[in-house]
Amino acid sequence: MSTPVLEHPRESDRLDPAAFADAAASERDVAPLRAAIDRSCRGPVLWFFGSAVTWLIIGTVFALLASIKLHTPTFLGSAAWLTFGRVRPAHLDVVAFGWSAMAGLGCLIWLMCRLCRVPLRYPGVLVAAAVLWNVGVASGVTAVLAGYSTGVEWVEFPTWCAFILFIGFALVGLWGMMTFAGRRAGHVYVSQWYLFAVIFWFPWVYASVQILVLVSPVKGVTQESIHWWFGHNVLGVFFTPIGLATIYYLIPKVIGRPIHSYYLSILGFWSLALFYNWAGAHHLVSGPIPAWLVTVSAVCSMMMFIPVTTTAINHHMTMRGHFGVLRYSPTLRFVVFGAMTYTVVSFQGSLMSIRILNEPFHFTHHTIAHAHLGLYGFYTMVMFGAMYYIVPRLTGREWASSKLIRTHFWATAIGITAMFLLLSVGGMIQGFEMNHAARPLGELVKEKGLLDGTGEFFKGFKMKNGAVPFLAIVRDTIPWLWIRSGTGVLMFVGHVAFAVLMLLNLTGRGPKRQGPTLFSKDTDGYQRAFGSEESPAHTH
Amino acid sequence: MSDVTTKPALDPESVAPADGPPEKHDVAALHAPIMREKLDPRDGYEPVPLWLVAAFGILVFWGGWYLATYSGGFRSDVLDEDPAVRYAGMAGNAGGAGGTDPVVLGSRIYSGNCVSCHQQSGQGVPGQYPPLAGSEWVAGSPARLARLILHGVEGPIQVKGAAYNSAMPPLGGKLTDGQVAAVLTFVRTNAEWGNTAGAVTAEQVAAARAATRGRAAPMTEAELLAVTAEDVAPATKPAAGGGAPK
Amino acid sequence: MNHGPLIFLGAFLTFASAWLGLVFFPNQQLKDLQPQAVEGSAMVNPRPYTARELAGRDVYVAEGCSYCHTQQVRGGEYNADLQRGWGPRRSDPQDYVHDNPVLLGTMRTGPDLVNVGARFTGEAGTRWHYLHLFNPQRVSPGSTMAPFRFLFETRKVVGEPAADALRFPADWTAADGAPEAGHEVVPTDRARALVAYLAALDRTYEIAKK
Repeated sequence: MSTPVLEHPRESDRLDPAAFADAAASERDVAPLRAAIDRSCRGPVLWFFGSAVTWLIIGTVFALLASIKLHTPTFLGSAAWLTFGRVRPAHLDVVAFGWSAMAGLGCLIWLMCRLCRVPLRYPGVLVAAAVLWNVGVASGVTAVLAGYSTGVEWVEFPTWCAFILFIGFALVGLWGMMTFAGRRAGHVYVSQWYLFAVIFWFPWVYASVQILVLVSPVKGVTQESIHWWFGHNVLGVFFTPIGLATIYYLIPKVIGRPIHSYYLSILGFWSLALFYNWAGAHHLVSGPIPAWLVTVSAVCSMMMFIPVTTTAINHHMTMRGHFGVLRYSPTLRFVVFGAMTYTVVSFQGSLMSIRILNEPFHFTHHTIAHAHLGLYGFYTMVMFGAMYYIVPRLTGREWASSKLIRTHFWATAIGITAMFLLLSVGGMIQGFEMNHAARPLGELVKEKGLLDGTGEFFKGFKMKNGAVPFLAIVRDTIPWLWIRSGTGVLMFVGHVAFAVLMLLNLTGRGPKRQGPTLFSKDTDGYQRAFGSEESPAHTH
Repeated sequence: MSDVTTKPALDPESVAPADGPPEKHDVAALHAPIMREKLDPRDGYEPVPLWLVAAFGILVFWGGWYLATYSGGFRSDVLDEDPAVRYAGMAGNAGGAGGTDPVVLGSRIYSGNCVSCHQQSGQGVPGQYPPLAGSEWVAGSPARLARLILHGVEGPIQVKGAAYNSAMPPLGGKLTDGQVAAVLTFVRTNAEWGNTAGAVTAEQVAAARAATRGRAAPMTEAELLAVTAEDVAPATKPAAGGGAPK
Repeated sequence: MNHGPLIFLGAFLTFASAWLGLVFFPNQQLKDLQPQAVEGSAMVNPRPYTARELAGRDVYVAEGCSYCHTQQVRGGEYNADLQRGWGPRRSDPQDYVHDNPVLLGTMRTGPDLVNVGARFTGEAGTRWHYLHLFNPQRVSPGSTMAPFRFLFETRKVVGEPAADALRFPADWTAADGAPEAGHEVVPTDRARALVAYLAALDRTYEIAKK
């Protein structure tokens, strides 16, 4: 059965106002289709989003516990299941595979339907995937807390839990390919390339690390090369492409402008595909592995400047002249915050893979700060923005409280910025002290009396070479760890605000609103920024 | 379908059915978020800026240089951040133990093997582990010291007028002759500890090892004190530090 | 860029290149590594783990020790790993041939452990480890290591005290965990296994030049 292929109006059509108007008119007709798509997406996407936000709260609680235990190790110190070595991986796995993955898959599903211009078919398959994913994460986290972690960072879940996750992902992937094959849009938009790539790449990396490191391990340190190829690729070929796909959709969507350059999109996509997944061994600089492995990863990590700069220019030039919209739109504010952070954290990461810049920061809290800037400052903020956009379209209800949205934004934005900056400082201090003599040893000993009375075994302990004693390094990082706990509390407040908003929206409680829930109540300014509601073809 | 227009504007149920081609409805019947949506994302066609291409070209050039310089010939035995890494094709550097200065090597071996009992200060632990600083044993015969390290010590032993009776494990299976010589040199020449004896060579350790080959038990104080004569090296060779005769 | 098959092919080739580079080729280079023989004995370096040491490694993994401790002495000129006495030489791929999983670690909230078995030896080392695991803050003031008191049990002394009951220094109080009179603190099997594993972490042997 032949269905009309719906083309986007192209900028070149401006030269022919009639063609442009026709295209714009056909866009108006797309509104019922959009409504149909949204209605069909409702069950599966809300399953993923609702689960994701629940995991976010749980993961943030684990995060606070881990953070507190780093400076106050006796806090809840007698509970075996909460010992730092278990609650820290529990935090990582919940926020990665619970919150981040499920938020991302929810976005993937909705974006695929919208961009393919077809309503969602076989919702039962996707709901089953969501249920399986929840089961996998819940059982995996329980196993970690009970002491059955595999000991491989990012892959702590026992293999049988990972298998459940794999099946869930495979269901979403198959659905995605079928939906793509049945698309009604003639032109494949850049977001779809990224989502398509995720569907294909993630099962490959996940299966590889499970088989080659856990089930039938390769011998020796090659395990660590594969391990960190996976660890970096969770960010590189799962979360980053979904985040970029979402940004590429939402920025032009909210402001009504085309993406600046199709050619930059192509350059950005293929350079990311080529370079990102070579970068893994930069986690192993100076490690017991062949030097060439670290070098190729360092080179490809630096090559990442290409896709990141390209994407940054594309997004910035699209936004140019419309930054005023950021005052009003929660979606855009979260998404643009994430997009800008993507540029910053990627530049930082590329530079840190050069050996001389890696050595002071390796094994320190600086790395942790960088990881949070990426997975939270970029990806999580983009996911927040996406949920602010998508959920009202699925439930038909606007967000209940502008105040809660403002709380959410400022708490999380200030929280992650402070956490990144201040924890990085702590990590730099840690790294420099670990690598060099920071102060003359005699001065340290006199000042703090650190080395006296540390137990009979170490009486008279003295470092002959002037390096900073390890316990002094620990002592010097503690204030920064306290600050990090504070920023974590702030972020938790933001998450609670968001969870309340989600709950109110999903259950239909809270004040009923007519228009969008925005940051600012200045409706005239909003009208000027967004243009008339009657005109979906927003001309600049 | 015809009664769609009479339904309230915000009722999601008024939306078109999930399948079938889109139909023309009164758009006011569709819910508000859809209504205020802008055009779907579409592509602009601005060209790639030339300066960007040039910048990327420079980056690729840098990458090629870095790859050529720091890959160690793509060998598996050139490990990351060994000096040999800097020069492609150079022989592998398996160890990097800090050059040929036996005192430096010895101090590292000491830190890795001896510090837990004899302490970083060389003072030992009173009543438990004897000191090395100012010890008459350290200043004595290298042949005796080599045997002490190779086979360990058991039983009562007097050091600097105090009695000790702990067991020192043998290290002959773990350390090469060069390493034993280095750590002995480090201890014997350590001025901070008040030790001013001379260096020990790998040949002296090798001779001691050869003279006691097959011995399984640790040394006792009496056996050690009976070692008075220096062992003769099998052939005269210039003293070398840090090497490992195998 | 409108063709699914084209995107698929490109995605496959770009990704396969990295799979070759970071998975396949390293394995080709390193899969035949063997421990090296010690001249004149049946020993190999590194020696394989005993069953108890493997049980101890499972405890190390389960309790997440890798999240604070690395097991690699770094090479290179910019760090102080060797000066800190963490080993006589940098770590080598050969050191890890018996390790499953390889626990290189990524954070140094605590010191490197790959040669901890050479720094803490024999019975004295074992006793230090027990006390330190039981109450790290008391043994190393300022330490932020998690207390692993749950790896020990406090019980009434029945007959003779246990051989490996913890020997508390005289100045430890009940708040530090010292048991009351007539009681002793003994390590559980998990603690014994863990300390056996830590004692086996000794990679100070010299690498034979190939």
